[in-house]
Amino acid sequence: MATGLILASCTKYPPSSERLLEDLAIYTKYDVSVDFTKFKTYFMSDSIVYVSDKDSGWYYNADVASLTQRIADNMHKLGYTRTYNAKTTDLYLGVSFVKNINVSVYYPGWYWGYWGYYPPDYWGGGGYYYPYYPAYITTYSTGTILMDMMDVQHPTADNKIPVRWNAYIRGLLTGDHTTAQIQQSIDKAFDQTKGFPGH
Amino acid sequence: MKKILFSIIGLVLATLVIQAQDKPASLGFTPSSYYTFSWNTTFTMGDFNKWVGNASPAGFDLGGRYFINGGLVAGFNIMWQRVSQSYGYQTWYGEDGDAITATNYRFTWMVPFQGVVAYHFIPDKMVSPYIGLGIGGDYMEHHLLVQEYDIYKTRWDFSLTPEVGALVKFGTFSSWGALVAFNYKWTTNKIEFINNWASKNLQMLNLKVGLALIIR
Repeated sequence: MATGLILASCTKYPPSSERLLEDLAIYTKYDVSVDFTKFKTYFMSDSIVYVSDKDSGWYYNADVASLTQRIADNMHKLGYTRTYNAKTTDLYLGVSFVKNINVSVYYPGWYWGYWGYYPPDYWGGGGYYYPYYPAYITTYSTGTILMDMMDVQHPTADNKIPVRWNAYIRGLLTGDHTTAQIQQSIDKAFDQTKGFPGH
Repeated sequence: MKKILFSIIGLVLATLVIQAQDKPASLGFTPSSYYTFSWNTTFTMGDFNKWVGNASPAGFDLGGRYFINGGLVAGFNIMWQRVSQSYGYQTWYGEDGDAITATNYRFTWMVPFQGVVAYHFIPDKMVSPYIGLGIGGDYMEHHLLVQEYDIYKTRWDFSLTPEVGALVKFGTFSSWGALVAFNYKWTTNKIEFINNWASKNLQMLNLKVGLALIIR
């Protein structure tokens, strides 16, 4: 026992059982060089992208409708108007759900070479890029909602679409989280972003 | 700090009085040196205590002392220490537009190293109290863990550690003994997490209890 205590004392990090409590984690990041008041409209699909180690694709059900409605409510509070014209919108809000896989393999790059929020050539085929180092996931996750806000009217010279805001909400499939908690987490993702209009 | 120093001096004097009523002066031996391996419990103070309020038994100390003249000794200490505490659901804001909300866990990992000068009042006795001063530095890592995110700063510092303690031989002529010591440590180290934390001159109290190998 004494040896164990000595060894435990030698380690830099405390035991993971002590410090990695499983709960919802909300991580957001935005492009600090951008004025978010300049955007007026956004496009968001009613379906979300679903990624798991077994199958992937567009997905829609009542839970998805609840999720996208909550996101739309938050966008409305920020003063953005939802549009269903993806070609004229200022912002494209991509939403995806990743289930129980090592997403660090896939995200943030998984949709570039694999498949993504939209047909690759929709806005010119250049793909996306982050003007900053994005929020990302480093370990196996039990379930994650990802949101990317793309500035589709300002592509780079090589047709890359800049992502102005991205967020993820992790730890959603533990069985302990209610729909209300998930919705509160979406609210929190918007609330904690200081660059948004009125924040 | 004055209160702590007075407390240390008071403890030493009390120990001396008890020792003076003890055994004849002819018994025992003055070591040439001794080496200690001690369990260390840290009690953070001031700004450090606001960072991590929990006392921590996660630490140990390796020391060596060499008698120079009478009860005067010089030596070294190398330590490993860690203090940690879990906090509730909080939002951490970075400087580049990022923010994380989750359970926060803070810890500081320390590797102190000091040269020590001490004076043993009655070095030949079974119970040999001393006062000492450690001068040296620390390597510290201050970590904020937000789930799998590890936000941290590393710092080197200068430190001063007045200490009071006693070397207790297991027998009058034993080569083994115990070390009990208590010290106050002042450092130039600080914790700075942008928008979230600012502190200076981290301070702590340490209680050491350990074994000593005594060389004649």
